[in-house]
Amino acid sequence: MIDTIIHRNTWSGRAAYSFLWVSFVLFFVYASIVSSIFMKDKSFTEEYLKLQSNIPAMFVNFGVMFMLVIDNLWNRYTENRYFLLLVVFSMFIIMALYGHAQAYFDNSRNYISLIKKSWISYLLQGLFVLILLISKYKTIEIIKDDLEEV
Amino acid sequence: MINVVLFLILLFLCVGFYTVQRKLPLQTAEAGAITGVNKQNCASKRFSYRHDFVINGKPINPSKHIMLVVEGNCMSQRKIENGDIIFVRKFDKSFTKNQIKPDDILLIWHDSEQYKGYKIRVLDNDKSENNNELNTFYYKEDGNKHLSCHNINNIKGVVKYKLQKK
Repeated sequence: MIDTIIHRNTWSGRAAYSFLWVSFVLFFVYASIVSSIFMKDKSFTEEYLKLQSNIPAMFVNFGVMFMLVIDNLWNRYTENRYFLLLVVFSMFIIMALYGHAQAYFDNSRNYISLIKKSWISYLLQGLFVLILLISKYKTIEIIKDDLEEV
Repeated sequence: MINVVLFLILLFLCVGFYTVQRKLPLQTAEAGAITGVNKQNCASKRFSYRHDFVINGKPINPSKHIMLVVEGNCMSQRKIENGDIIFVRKFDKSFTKNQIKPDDILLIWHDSEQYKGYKIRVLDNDKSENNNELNTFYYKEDGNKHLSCHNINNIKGVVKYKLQKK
């Protein structure tokens, strides 16, 4: 439906579409993480900062990446594409398993820290979102080629 | 610091994986004699999935079609030239072999010692005596028809469209 509202072959349409899409993806992924924090029943700020600067930050990025790939496949296959939803559900199962593993590490005080300085983490994630936006903007254009009947 | 570098490498790999588009592979379809035919540099005629192929403003369903590059000049009378990109409607539930009619350009899979690959031929008006075979022809250089029979099981689809030259 969004295709009928926003013209994807104009730069403004593409920019708007990319922005909406990236916002949705970020909201979706972060909402999953925030809900997992609430499930743990701990201090929100403390947990959020910890998640931002550790493995989940990378996991979020991979989650976004995964959704990009799914989105690409969804646009490519016009028939029988609902099987892709299975892959998405599998992702949630993997996230749940990951959450359990993370909780295990938390409890055993063996928290694996990949990026310790939180400002680097913010910077990298900001960069990631920017690259995400640009790549979506670039790949969203549909090139139309005219055919003739023979 | 190593972790940050690792993170950056992974990040760029991921984005690179997404941005580099896969290409649609294009096979060739032989149209008449191909000796002496200028090979149209088929490798460069590749399209990414970002392309929408439209006929009268409406996009066609790419999963129902086969894209091929024509090699040969035998269909010049039907305005299909050497190097043209054609779209063949595959047979499925909504488009069966019973729907093909005389003068349709058929895509035929040919597997013999001399030639293995796709050919395009026009369906002849005259029906074959054998129910499992179809009479087809292609145009020779002098304009006459070169007749040949093909098994109906080797018919893979009907040429419906060709890409407009820009």
